[in-house]
Amino acid sequence: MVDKDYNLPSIKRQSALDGQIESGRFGNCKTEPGIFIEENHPLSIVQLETREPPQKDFLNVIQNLFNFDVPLAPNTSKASDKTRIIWTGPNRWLIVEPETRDLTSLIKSQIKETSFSIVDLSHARSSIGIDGFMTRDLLLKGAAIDFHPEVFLVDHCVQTTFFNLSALICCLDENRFNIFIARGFALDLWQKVQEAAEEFGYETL
Amino acid sequence: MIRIKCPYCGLRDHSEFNYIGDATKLRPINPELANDDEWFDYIYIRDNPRGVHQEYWQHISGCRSYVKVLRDTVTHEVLKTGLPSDDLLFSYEAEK
Repeated sequence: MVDKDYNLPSIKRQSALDGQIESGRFGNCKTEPGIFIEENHPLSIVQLETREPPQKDFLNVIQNLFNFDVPLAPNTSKASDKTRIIWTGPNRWLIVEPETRDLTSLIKSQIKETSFSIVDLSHARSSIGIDGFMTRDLLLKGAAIDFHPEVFLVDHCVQTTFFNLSALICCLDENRFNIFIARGFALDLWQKVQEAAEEFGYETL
Repeated sequence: MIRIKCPYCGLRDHSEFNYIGDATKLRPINPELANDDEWFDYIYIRDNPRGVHQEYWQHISGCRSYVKVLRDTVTHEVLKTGLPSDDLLFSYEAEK
């Protein structure tokens, strides 16, 4: 049980895509758009890493904080309504949730063992969400990964090069994906996704 | 296109990997006792074999892990992959 408030500083987090997103429908949009694109902002993004395979205490803390375990299988994620924990490497995870509290301090205060590292990446990553019935076709244009719904299942995630950018792609729902990328490449990714979505018709939200 | 099987992420294009180096070179067992020739050999001397070669790659655009790769330098065929601690044994004769 967490009894202390972990409030955010009053300064507003600025998006890398501020002023770059024009809402509306674009491309081949004669009927319904095949793609919906939006930026996920602001997010708390925290990287957690343990030196050895996670111990029981560590797993218990995560379970108590989020009501689910860290995913131990490669290329998978687990989520509740609010928080998603994504496997990003051996003994390494990304914890993502809408930014409402100081997540880094909260986790740090709970974990007593010392053989872990925690890094707040909220300022360093951008995320865009893609939805719509043509989403998997769009993803195929940018990455050499099998995105067939029977192979790339819900809660599956993959780190790969997407339009030549190192990206983390996570499947939230049948046709709903989040893409995480280093902040400096956010506009590049946004424009490449827009360009790729042109033929399907897309709506930016 | 070379495809490398990362022990964690599965089969991926080699563009996701960085070549790190020769995996056959071993650091001197007793660094304090090793002489200059042993250090020179460990740091600078590399064979350029024709055929099967054991090397380290890093899955830089994926899980960032090091991967040990057994690759044929003539055909570029990736014969085996594993963790850096794995012993990758391969011979064309045994595979026949």
